[in-house]
Amino acid sequence: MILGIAIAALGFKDINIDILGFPRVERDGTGPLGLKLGLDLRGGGHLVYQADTGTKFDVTFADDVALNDLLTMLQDLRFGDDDAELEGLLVGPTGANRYLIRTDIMASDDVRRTGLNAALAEEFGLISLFQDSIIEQPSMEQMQGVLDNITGRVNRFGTEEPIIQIFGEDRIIVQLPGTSGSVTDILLADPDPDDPPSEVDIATALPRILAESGYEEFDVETRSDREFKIQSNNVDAEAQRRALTSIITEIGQVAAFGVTSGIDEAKALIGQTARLEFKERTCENAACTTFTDADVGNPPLSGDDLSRAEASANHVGIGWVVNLQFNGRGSDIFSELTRRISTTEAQSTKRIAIIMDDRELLAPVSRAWIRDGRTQISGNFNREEARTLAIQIESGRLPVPLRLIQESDVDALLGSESLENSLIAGLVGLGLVLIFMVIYYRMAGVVAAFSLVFYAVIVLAVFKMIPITLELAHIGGFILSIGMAVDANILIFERMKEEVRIGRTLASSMEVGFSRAWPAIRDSNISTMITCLVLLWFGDRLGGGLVTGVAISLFIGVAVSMFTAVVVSRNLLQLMAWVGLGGRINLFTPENLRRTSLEATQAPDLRGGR
Amino acid sequence: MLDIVGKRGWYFLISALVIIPGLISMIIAPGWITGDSGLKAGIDFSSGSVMSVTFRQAVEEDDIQQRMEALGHSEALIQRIGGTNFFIRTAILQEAFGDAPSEREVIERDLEKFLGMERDRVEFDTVSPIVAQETVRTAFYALAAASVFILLFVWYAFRRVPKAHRYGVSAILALMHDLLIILGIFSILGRIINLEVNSMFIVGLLIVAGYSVNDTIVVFDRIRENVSRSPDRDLAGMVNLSIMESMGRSLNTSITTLVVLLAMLFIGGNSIRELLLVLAIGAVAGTYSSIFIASQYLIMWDQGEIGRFFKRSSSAAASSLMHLIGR
Repeated sequence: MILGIAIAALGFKDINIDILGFPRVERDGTGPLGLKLGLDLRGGGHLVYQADTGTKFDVTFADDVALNDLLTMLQDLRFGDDDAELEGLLVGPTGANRYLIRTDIMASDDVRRTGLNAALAEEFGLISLFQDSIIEQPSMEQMQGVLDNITGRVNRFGTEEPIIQIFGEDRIIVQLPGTSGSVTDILLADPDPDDPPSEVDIATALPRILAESGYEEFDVETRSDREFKIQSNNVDAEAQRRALTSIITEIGQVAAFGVTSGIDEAKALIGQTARLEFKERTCENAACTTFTDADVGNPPLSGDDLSRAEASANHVGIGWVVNLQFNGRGSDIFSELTRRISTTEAQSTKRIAIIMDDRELLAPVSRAWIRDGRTQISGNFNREEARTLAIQIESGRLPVPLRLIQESDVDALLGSESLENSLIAGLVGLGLVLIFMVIYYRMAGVVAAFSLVFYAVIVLAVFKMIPITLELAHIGGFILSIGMAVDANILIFERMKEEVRIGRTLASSMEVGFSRAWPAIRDSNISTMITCLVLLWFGDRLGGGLVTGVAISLFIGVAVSMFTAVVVSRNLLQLMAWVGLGGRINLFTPENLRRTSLEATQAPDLRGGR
Repeated sequence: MLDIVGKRGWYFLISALVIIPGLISMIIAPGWITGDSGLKAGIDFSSGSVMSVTFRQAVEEDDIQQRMEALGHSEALIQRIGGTNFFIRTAILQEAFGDAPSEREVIERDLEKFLGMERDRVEFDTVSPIVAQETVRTAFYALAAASVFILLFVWYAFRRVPKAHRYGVSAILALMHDLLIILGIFSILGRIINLEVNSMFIVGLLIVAGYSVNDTIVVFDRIRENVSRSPDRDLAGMVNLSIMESMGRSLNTSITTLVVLLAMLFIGGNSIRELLLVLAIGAVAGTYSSIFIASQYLIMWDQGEIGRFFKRSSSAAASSLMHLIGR
């Protein structure tokens, strides 16, 4: 039975090695062993956002207008006697023949602002909607709000440790670990049997083409003779185009060519403006593929009117739901809206459109008149979808529009040398500890060494599964925790020695030693875990990613060290006793055994304290 | 057997010799009013300056680091953002004053001269702290809350021994003792060698807090076992016996921990120096306090020495020490 437990414990190690070797689906886990490394060790994506100030025109044309024509017209447009042009011009489509035109801030009596409507009508005909508004320079408080907002979005599980800073007055820097680099998937077309391409050695040609096209630090994974996956730096559109062109001319036709950049995921999560709107949608057909959206309330119902959004399990059905809670004003408007559109006949044509960054998140049908501002959106979401939606909806509360002005990869904050030095130092330290343990506790020290290896493997596996983004501090903490995991072993061995001293056999000393040491191991580690849980609870509530990170890694370390000391060390020791080493007590302690009896000391003089 | 318990006054005095200068350093002028507790906020916690620079030639982070250090900006964080573009975070740079050029000017000239930086492509601005002050506050509230829970837990875990709550209170006192020693030493070092307090420091404090009580409970466990085995013996004798019995373990654990820490501190890079330093101080203070503070306080409480000590002591050092412990 004892052997069985020992083998089970060994099996545990195997399982964990399997987990370590398991290929990760996400791109993040590209560190050693698939561990996720933090900004200081591996670098990541670097994004700079700027608060988008300016004058905004929301224009809808009655006739068809192409974006290109509109852009050309606006670029060439001149106003007044001094031929003033539109500065800082940006144009984007927001719907059918609907465009958002943005310029630098213009006063309300500026001839370019007052004259734009007429100029557009002259060129493109009837205009059905024309609204202009100014987006002001945000205050420092608003920027702080945006910063908190983005922090909440990118650090959803509290273990990411991004760097987010306000830069100057109106910019925000976001650096995210592990979001650097691109993955390029290439699928070559089957060769045309009538016109076979010239024989090319793809294994040498492809890397050369990639290098010439501007790919750096790339790694080609050959999935089949026609399918390739390339991990590389963050490649821009130009490099992608060059690579595609060269592959077609030099290797052959391409069936599929797709690039996903880690930084794109980060951008999608942060959102462009974090601006959330609720609109009343009137569908024009059954599937609601064509529709018109109208504002509700004045000013229109927006993220400002929302007090909370959270995901929860669906109590009455399957899957997950998103719960919304509007504030006072929001509740009133929402009540009026749902009263109007939740009737049976309205349900076939009316929906509530939830729009972020001019992009639709959801357009649910209203099933009931909701009077108290509490509503639930169900839609067969899984947990992850519901959480993402809740985050997007809730953090859409601050309407400071942002514009991405710079994106790039960023290198590790600390050179690789720093990581190497720390690792070497840690290993030297651990080596010394193990030597000390073996000298001091002999065979038991060897057991402790084994137990520590188990400990390290299991902790790394747990770090990987959560996943914890490892920074140098975590690695330092981890190496330290190996040193401390020795503690439980020492407690057990010291107790064993005591029992041996009073004349027990080794096997029974082991048993008694374990049971004597257990209360201390249990209570001391529970106290550390209590600290961790409290830190976790606080860190989660008050948004301290730093606090959360420490709490989680410390908790894992303590829990696993308790497990390895009790299960692994114990079974290994019993295994040794079982195979007969147990008879040789001097293998377990260098001391000359002598009997000692418990003797109470004299009660010290009460006043001798000073 | 060594009579450790008999000399308990000395242990408090030794701790006081470390803690009181630290407290003084944290309180003295310019002091708390101006928010200067001697703990120098590092670049993580304070606003700073950022330069986004481009070089004409290939440069490495280390090259820039060297130049920045030569200019007295060892705090600079340097990141490559693709090609020859770099992002340099520093503490807030001084404006030009009188004839002296601004620090920005000095850095730009230096990097241009030695590393071929393109001066017309420098972007410069201030940035907000990386770690919000709020996080630090969170950490301290969390520690306070954790102390309450630990006190309750220890009380519960020691429910079979008489006056179990005293064990909980003593464990928390030992924890506060350890944290005060670290804060004090960092405050003094901040004044002497400009050692900065950064997020690593906070991480270290939290880890020490987690392990300080851990250590104390191991010693207390031994007391618990001995007291419940022979409940009639007097507590002081039992504590002395328990300390002697668990001494081997206490020393071995702190030695193994220190060995790892010192190896990393001396061989490893500078990057987590603050963390390692906090942990090393914490390991020593933690072992010391579980033997010489927590256990001794237990006896003083048992023998009613605390009140008497208070009345008798006239020396300033002793009274401020007791004020500290009495909280």
